[in-house]
Amino acid sequence: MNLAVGYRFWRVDPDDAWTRGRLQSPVAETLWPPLETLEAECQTRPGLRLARAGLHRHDEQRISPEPSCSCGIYAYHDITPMTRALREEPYMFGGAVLCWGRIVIHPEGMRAQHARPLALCRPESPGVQLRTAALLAEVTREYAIPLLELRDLVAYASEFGASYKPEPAPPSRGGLDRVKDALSWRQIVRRIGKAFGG
Amino acid sequence: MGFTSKPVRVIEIPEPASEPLIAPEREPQRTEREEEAPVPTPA
Repeated sequence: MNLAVGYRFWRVDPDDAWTRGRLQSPVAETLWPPLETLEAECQTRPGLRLARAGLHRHDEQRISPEPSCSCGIYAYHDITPMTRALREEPYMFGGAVLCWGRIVIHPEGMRAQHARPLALCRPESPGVQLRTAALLAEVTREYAIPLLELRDLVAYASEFGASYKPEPAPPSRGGLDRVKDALSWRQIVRRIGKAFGG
Repeated sequence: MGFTSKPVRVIEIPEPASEPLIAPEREPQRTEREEEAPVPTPA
């Protein structure tokens, strides 16, 4: 079975001496360890931003991601939602990740048990490129991953694994179609007649 | 990041046996200085 490829974004804080040069999850604030695998851990305890009451009891025996919880390492199936997020914050960087272990698949992305970054992509804006060049060089050196143009990211990531994007669900059929499947025209006419007192 | 839709499937992908995750190292490029290094002349 192929490893799963996804796309996501990280924050890198250039002003924080402790986290500088490290990829940080924008929501859970998890630091991704360089050259090591990140393992998902459920942090949905009451009081945290991710908490969803009643969905997941914190239990040492449980593996994250739990399908009914919001925990796990997030990645999109496609690059489009990733690039949309990158336009919103200056020190948010996109890239590809490789995932394995338990994978909870959603229509728009997946939540994984284990993940490692595969590559980062160069920001599209020339101004952002200029401002973040040194920082990105530092990050890619730290994680021993390449810095690619956005247009090359998917092709590069595909060398390492596969997408598990689910097939889109077929369009839901109208009520009349379902009735026609279940009943013959004669039955339909008889029922309509009865409904109107005939 | 967050998903608004419900999960559709759960799969288990085994841990990779080898380390295929780090980009292959490139051959070190020779610098201009190395190329221009003088060839020692025989004594």
